[in-house]
Amino acid sequence: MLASGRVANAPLNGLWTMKVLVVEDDATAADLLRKGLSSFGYEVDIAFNGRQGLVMAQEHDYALWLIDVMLPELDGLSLLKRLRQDDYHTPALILSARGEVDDRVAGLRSGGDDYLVKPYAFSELQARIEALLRRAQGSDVAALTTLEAADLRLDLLKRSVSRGGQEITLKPREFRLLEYLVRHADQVVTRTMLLENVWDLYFDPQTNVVDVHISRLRFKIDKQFATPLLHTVRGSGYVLRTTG
Amino acid sequence: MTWLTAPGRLMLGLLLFYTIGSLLIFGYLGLQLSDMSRRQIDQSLRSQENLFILQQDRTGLAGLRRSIEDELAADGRADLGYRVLDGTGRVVFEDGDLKLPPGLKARGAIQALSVVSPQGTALDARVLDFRLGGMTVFAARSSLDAQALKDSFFRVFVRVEGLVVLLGVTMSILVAHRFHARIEAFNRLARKIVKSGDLSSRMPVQGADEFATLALNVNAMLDRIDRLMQGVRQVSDNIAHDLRSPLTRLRADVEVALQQDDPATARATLERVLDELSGMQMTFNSLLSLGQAEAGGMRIKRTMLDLSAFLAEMVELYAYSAEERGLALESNIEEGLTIGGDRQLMAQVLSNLFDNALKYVPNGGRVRLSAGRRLHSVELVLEDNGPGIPPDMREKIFDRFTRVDPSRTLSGTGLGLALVRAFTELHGGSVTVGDSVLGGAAFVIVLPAPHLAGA
Repeated sequence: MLASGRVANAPLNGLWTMKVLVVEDDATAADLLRKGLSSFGYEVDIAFNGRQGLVMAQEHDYALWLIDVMLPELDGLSLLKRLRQDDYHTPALILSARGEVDDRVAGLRSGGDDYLVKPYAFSELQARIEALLRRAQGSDVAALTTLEAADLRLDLLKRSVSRGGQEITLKPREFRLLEYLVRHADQVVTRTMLLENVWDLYFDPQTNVVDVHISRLRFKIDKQFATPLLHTVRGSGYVLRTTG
Repeated sequence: MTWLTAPGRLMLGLLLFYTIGSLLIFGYLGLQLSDMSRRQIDQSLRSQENLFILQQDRTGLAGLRRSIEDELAADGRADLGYRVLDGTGRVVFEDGDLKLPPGLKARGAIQALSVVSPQGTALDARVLDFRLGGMTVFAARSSLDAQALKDSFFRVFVRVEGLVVLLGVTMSILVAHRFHARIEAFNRLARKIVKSGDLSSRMPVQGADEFATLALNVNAMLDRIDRLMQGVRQVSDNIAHDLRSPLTRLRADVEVALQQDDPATARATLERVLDELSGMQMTFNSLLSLGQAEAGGMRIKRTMLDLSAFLAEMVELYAYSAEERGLALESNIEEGLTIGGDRQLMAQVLSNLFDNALKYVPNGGRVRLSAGRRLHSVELVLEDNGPGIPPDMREKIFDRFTRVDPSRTLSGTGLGLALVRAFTELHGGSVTVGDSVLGGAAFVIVLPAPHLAGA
């Protein structure tokens, strides 16, 4: 599904810079976000309260909104609800100091596409932004019955996997793990993203459980093949690369 | 002004209530009394009528006169008066102390009239008239006795009422004063604590009344607050201590890197700094979760959780990691176990217990998760053949920052088991640790499951 080869960490649509709106009332945090996102090639606008955020989101065309929950004048969730009611479909990532599952549910219900709890690692934020931007671009994923990445082929109906025509036997959880990686091929996927999406767990265990599952999966899909697909990105997570 | 305090106002209110009530009762009694005396008078008039009729029948007018004289002579009564008219309405004779008004008309019934006493004053009287052998007889009787009774009744009432009000006011002031003094003692204590922040003061306990109970409860509350405060102080001391070590390491690391001025060292240092910071963040997050869970600020999202399937998932999640550490992870989970619970919180409970087991059980060891139904509950046991927990540590181990062996350099926040207990208790369950048949520690979690009938 992602045929063109792009470097995983660079923003998409390399011809022009992608504009991101950050709605965050803490000036220091906003400044750090601006610096961090700019260094990855995004153009960053900052709104310091909900009302300002609403105006800016309505007036400019952004590729992504980063919205803090606790905001003066208009809180993040209400802001997002207003925008969604007015038919704005820009992907939104909610940043929150609260990490309970209920808050997450409330965030997603208000129209958020993903939810990240503060304090977060910057690599985590970056990976999630990438994932959201990709998702916004390829909107025809829902109807697929097969997924392909390089010479890897997943049959979603039969729950079977083959690489280069050779059948690979996976356990159900391994299949879900691989499916998620393939759906996010060429993007960095963090351990937290995997725990949330493959295991439905919203906390990080101390034991490196994800790493061990990845290495088992790697053994099954890469061992007998010349080009490895599954790569570790130090300090961030993993990436399934479709191009050598 | 002490009598206007709450107890003073209460006493006055009661007094007012009593006064109004007694006025009503006395008024009612007074009415009953005059009604009764009127009926008595009427009855005596009627019996006189009968008597006179009988007497006259035998002896005519002379007999009537004698009857009337007898009547008047009997115990020298001054409250009677008689008048007899002949057929033409002329007065035949009058007798008795009461003077009936002139020109009195016969009614054939008892009427209330004003008559004149021997002293010349007006008196209320009841007058009966009846016909007797062509004559008309008027018999009058005043309610003098009843009047006297009513008067003395009223005097008694006024005296009693006055005395009661006087006593009541005095009592009000005394009681209010006494209550105020005892309440003021509590106020003094509260003000003292507010002012100084010193929680060591206590109420003196006197007697065995409600104030004594209140004093006991206030003291017990202060004891508890004092213990909690000490706990909080202990915890913040621990936090400071737990953060000082990584901060010291960070500082030294950064200082060395700055001196060396070598990009490779700088990068390696930054990576270590990031690791240390992640650890500190984890400590803070766990502390926040703990604080929320213990203060009841955490909303627990209960759904019907298929515990058997969920536990199997957790075992699956940890199986490879256990294997990597050379541990055999076994499971013995009964089918069909369900609880009302929060999946995320239960996952953290299991995860923390697994993390511990993987950390402390040496290579080649065994870890086993069992789950089975008990009466209206589910019991989870995670046991191992590791070093176990010494008996004197078995309660303490669930406190914040407790580590079985402080010299152990294994990483961790020291908060994992505290979270296990807090989250288990949020589910209405309990967690204990004991000896395992495998030779190590056995963590036993009992969760309520009222819908399960038990084994």
